[in-house]
Amino acid sequence: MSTLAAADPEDGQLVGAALAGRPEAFGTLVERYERAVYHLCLRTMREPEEARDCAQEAFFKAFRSLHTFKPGAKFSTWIFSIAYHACCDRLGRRRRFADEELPDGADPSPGPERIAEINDEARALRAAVDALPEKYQTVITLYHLQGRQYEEIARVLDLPMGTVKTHLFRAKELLRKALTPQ
Amino acid sequence: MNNDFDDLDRALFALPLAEPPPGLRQSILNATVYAPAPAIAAPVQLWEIVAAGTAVAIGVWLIFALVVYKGFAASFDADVVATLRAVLNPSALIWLGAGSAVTAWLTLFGPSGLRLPVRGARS
Repeated sequence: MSTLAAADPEDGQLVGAALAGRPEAFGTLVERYERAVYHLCLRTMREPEEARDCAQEAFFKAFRSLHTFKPGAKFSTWIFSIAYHACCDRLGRRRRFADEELPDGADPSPGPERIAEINDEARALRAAVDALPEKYQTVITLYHLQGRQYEEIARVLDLPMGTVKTHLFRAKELLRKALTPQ
Repeated sequence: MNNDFDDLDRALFALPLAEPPPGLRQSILNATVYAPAPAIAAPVQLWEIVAAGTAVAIGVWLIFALVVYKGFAASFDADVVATLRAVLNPSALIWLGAGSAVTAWLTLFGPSGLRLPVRGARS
């Protein structure tokens, strides 16, 4: 019986099927992770067009190097890592070739006054996350996507787990401070 | 460490993910799953391309020499021996090694690394 016959095949099974000559299995993985990968790219790049390019590049690279995916590894960690590094490459190039950190169309981080004005809790939290320093923002975004799996977050970012935990703790402290009414 | 952040965690996990732009999935699928199969199905190694290019270049040169230079076939053996002698002397080998090392270094670490044509693959 085909491994894809299961109603909800695991990611590893889909990778295996794609490698075995059924590329449509990769389509299911795209369907599963498109939104999360785009979200990560958008939070990292802060520019929808660049995020779109990075997400597409990530899936393209993943498809081309599917044979390097280690059996037993988490596909989410793998694709997030590819996407994050694609973003870093572009950010590096952007910073090298442009004399600015963010493009003109970038989503500007709101200041504390703006955050205080926002009544809706989710929007306020989103604004507070946007206002975080970049390194904390990425960790918080991955925490949002991966849950409390610190080891997976550390793998995506190529950081020691202790550093991830520290960044996360500081990020949460900053968020709480930003969201606490003065 | 995280016990104090339960409410914040709940709010964070409840945040909706950004909505991808329409057409993103299709453009990804067009560039991957539905992309036309490459002419060479198996992944091609760099050394295979170099070897094939070298073989073709030598073949073209041989045909050209046979057609253009009369008596080339007769003197081919002597030419091969003379060429091998010229190439296999120490100074030629040093220069060949230096050239190869620079080429390899520029290919691997040069400023214009190979980039995938992702933008062009958009639907």
